Amino acid sequence: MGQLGKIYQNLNPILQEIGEKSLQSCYSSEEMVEAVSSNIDFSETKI
Amino acid sequence: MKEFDFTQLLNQEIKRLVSSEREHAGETSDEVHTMNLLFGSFFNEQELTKEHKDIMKSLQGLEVHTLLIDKWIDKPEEFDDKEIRTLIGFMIYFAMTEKFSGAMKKLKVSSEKQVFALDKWNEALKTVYFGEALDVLYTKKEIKPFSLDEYIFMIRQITAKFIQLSLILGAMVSGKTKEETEKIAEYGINLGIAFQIRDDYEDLENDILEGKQRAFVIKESLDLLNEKERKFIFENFQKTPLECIKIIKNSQIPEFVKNLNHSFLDNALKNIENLNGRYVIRLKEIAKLLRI
Repeated sequence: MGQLGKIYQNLNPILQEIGEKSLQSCYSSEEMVEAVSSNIDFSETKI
Repeated sequence: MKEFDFTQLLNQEIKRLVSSEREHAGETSDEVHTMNLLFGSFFNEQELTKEHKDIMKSLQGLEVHTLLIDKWIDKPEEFDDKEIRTLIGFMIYFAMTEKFSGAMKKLKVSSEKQVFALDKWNEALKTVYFGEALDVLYTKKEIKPFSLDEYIFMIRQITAKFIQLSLILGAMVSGKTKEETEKIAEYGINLGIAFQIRDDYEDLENDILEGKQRAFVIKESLDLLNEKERKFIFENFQKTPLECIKIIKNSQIPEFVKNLNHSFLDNALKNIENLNGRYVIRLKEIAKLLRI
């Protein structure tokens, strides 16, 4: 799975709004750390 | 219980690995961008809720998971942190599955659809690993060309299933009928194959330098060379890859690969030609963007 580069640099207007939203809907590194480690519960066993 | 320093240590390591992949992949990889665009195509901007965005994030996370493991499998000699990459890679996978599952519940889709979506989520990842295993087996030191059918079969597993997953989820969450979803899924597989062919087209030099058996060196491509050129490629694929690249670039092979991309995009479009709606216009636009 490689990187193609420039496909999405100039989006057609019909894709523009959704393109911006989809870019905003990505994890930053900090958010991904949070998403991974917030699932680890060190305190007790919960069912 | 107190959270010991190892929590911080682990978080630092997660951050290091995720950041390195983001740096490598660019801010957002084209694959993630494609998946998010496809998923988002089913909604108007104002309809996109936090849960929809969480699904997009979990799709992105799924890619980061595979990248962490892919990289060292491709070039094991370059990584001295394989163990932690693998472990954190799987931690990311489980966290993303939880995120995805949580979003599905909050979207209040029926239990039946939630099970269906999780099945598709797992199926996509299972087939990606199956495809990666094939890729590892095919990437040998000596060139042993495989057929077009084998190549398509492999990239169908590696890439197309991921691309298809985003479409199936978008169609399901936006309430498309079973019949529509099936057509959209078929569009997705064809689009995903075309995506990977384009990727291979762009990555010719790197793939050959890495000894990858991709579109340019399948049997049908090599059949386009004359006997002397073919013999040279067979004998020198690993020894003088730059010469091999030159021969391939100056042959009819690039045109053949380009036509292959077009034919899968045409197939993709045929599947949605009788569907209607704004999302169909978007899906058609995305297919146009992926045309070499």
